[in-house]
Amino acid sequence: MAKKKRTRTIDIEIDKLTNSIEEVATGKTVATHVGLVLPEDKLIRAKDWRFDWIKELEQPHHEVYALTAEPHPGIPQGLISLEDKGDHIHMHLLESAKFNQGKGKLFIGVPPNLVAHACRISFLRGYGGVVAFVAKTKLRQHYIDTLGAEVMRGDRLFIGSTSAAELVERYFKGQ
Amino acid sequence: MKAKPILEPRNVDLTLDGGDLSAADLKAFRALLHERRAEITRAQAKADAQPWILEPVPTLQQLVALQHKQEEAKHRKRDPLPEGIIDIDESGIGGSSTEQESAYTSAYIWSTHQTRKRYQDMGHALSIALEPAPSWSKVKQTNRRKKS
Repeated sequence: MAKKKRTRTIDIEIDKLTNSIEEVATGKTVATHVGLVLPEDKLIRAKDWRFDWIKELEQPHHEVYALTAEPHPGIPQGLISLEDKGDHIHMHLLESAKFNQGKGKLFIGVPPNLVAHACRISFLRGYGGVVAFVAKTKLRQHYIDTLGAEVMRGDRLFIGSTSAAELVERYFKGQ
Repeated sequence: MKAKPILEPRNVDLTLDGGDLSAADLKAFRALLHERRAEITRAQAKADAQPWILEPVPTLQQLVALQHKQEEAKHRKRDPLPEGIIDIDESGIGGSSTEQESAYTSAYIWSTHQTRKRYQDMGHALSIALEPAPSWSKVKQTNRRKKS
């Protein structure tokens, strides 16, 4: 029997998102969207990323989200992998697209925008915005300074409710 | 719209590949969350009153569909190309893309694959040239039959 083709319709209002990233060349901010990546959609191309996101998409209980920006809302600017731990959200992986890495990166602001989304998911699930993650040692202090992260132990960090509320307010207030 | 501050330095690539917490770390973290219960409850109550809490999160597939929809609308609105022979100032064309610009273009082509295929199919159907063939392409018949 022929496989039934799955169709989706745009039935949600996503045009009024106002959270933004900055285009380095012009200094202009652009509106962003965040979308859940489903493995069956096959919309992530392995060569665009350093991490193995295809494998990550297959991990049970991991949810992968893509940040996209106008004028091309179909192009992932960055990806984040989250897991619902029942009382908080854990960030497993976070990466900017290849074109947003290095000295010639096209957009800045992608990672904090994705972290703000993780906090938003935490609030949506009733966890008070709390997000935990394991940081790279060299970037540990940076996450503390820029995201308001707190130290759990060593490189194990978390974003508490106060910082989470601040991040979500900054990126999703206009919704 | 007031631009929001961007929390990312230009000289650092922020990535996370740290993996999971150990069982002991998770236990300690949960004890910490328990201590902070009042702060978490307060923040959650405040968030519950915000409009964004009700916004559904789309799928990337829906965002790709949105891009297709926007581009089709743009194509429909675009003025037709000028009539007759088109001449352009070619001095404005040149230069090469950076590694990042090329990566973005490639990602764009990938994301619009379905739309592109649709336009390719349309282009194939119109590939029979309608303009007259240039004069040099007409072969002059020289080997006329001799009268007997």
